Amino acid sequence: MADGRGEVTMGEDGIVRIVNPPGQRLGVAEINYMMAEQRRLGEGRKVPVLIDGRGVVSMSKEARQIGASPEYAGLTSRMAIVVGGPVSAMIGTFFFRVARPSFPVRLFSDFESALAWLRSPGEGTPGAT
Amino acid sequence: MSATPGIDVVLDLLTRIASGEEGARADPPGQDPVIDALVVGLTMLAEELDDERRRRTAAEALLDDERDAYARSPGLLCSIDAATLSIVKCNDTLARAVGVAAAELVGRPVAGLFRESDQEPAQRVLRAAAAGSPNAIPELHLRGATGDLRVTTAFSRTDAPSPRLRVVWTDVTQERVLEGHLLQAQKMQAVGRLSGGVAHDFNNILAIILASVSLLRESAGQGGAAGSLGDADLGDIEQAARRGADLTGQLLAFSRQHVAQPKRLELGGLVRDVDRMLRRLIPEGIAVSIVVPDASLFVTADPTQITQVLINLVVNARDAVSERGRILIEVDRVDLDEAYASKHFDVVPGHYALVSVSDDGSGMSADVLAQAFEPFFTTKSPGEGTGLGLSVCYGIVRQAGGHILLYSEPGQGTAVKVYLPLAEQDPAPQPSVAKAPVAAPAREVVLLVEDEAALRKLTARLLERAGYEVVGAANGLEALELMSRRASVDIVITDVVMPKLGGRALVDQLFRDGKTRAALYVSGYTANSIAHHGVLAEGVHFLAKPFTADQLLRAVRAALGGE
Repeated sequence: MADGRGEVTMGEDGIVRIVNPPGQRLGVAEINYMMAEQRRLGEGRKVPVLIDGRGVVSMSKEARQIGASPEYAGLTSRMAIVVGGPVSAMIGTFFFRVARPSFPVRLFSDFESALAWLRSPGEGTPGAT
Repeated sequence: MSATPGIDVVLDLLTRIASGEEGARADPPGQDPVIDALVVGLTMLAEELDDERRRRTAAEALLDDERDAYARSPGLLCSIDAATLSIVKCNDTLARAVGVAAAELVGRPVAGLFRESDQEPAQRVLRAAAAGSPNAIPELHLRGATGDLRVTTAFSRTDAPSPRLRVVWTDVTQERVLEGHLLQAQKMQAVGRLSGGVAHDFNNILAIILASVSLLRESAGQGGAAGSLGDADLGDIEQAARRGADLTGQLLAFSRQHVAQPKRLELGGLVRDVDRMLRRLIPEGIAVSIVVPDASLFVTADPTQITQVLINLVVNARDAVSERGRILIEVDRVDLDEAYASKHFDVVPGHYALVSVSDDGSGMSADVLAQAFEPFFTTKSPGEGTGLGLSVCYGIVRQAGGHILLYSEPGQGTAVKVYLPLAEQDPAPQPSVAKAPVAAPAREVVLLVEDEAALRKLTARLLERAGYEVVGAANGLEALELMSRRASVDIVITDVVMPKLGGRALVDQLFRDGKTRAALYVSGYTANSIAHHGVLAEGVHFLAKPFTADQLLRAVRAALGGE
């Protein structure tokens, strides 16, 4: 974890993992930090991203716009968001339904399914769980 | 108290969003995850609504700007149904230009906007454009509220909301008029240069003829030989040469190379003074009215030349009227503003005196009007006119810094308007012009510089017979070389344009060296070397070629006496 902004790592499988702490409010600073770390770890290439969104309690409009921006899309091949309750599910749904990022996004309730989807080749049309 | 903890936060937030409150937000109460999710979701929804509202406001403002720009555009804008070629909408500029309210134009066939002869070509062009294969678009004429408008056409095709042509017509009426004026001015300038050059060469020839006639006549008078020519023959030759000289003089006037001697003159007074002379030119059946203002209108111009303009215009009016009709000569003050100047080529805004000569005669067609100022263009029968009358007027008025306009309608009559810039109010001191008598010279010495050998020889003989001692030179350098061996002469008579060293430089050098008391320039034209735009400076003596013996001797005396 870095200054309450979430922990960003990359596994040997090439998947970037972002873990948000409980009570996380995602604003511009937090999303920019995530994007910078993802760029560093992926060396500027498009990589799959697994987000632990269970601790997220809000996501600002500006943060949603950055998350769906062409700049972020240039770093992300697909994104799996693991949600843990109605609030994080609501935020996740809003993110991919309303902000509409151009890369495939799916919401999951468990990490195994999320990882399996990220690792599966060829799949990736945007859609809900 | 609400049944579900936190539901009141949800309801309150919903109410605020529904009432359109900008920035409606709430924090999740934290008592029930579902309620919290609802609050978070509603908050995000409110943010999206706010954003959408801002976008819509910005889009509406942009649309307003576009509507305003459309309405106020100087272009004549119109949308046309691609299938029916009827007007779907148009801007106010177009509506004003054609004198019909924009709302009334909607639904009308677009072809109706054009003058009759252009309706078919306009439809052809627009149909081709609607079909996606636009042809070259000719300039067309819209039927304007105050006359036809010449327009260029540009368009784009759109299929939303229905197939339409967006058309932009640009009014180029004024542009084309000014282009026409410019072309006309360029043509007149070219013709002026040509006729000026021809006149110059002819003047040398005529000068030789006239000088020869003078000598032959003198020789015959002294019992010498004039060949088989009698006095009547010499008279005929002289008269023919003088007619030739009149012609070259008119050509020079047209080409603005005539030497003008402008004075401050009161235009109304001048018109009144020449009234009697003008009336003598006009038969009784033609009524002549002269309207001159009480206030004085001073201009700076050569009175002889302005009189010439009046005579030429009145004679033209007389010939147009034929036997019965009216001629009106008016003098007035007019102020020409920027708007007027922008519509007329080479017109400077300012205060002008206007002399207009109008008649109710036969008038002129547009074709005749377009050529009216060209030298030798005439509609008169052979022998009735040289075709130089209006050309001379044009040259004189332009030389005086004014401009001349012609309005005419076949069968209605013609009005010629001459605008001369008003002079300053305070009268400038006028140099007195005294006519010097041809006094017998007291063996004064003349340096005669002329590159035309025959003319030099004849001029020298005229001067020698009048008692002068003449030393001749073919050009300026030869003259300086000759003067380096002489103390001085009384007067230098020199051509202006000569090879090697021109007259002006020669005279300046001789005056600097104290080698002459006086100078007289003789030339077929001024070439601006001794005169600025054909206007002589005070104290400069000039004799136009061709000249008679008497004119030469008078000019020499004037130059010597005016030192």
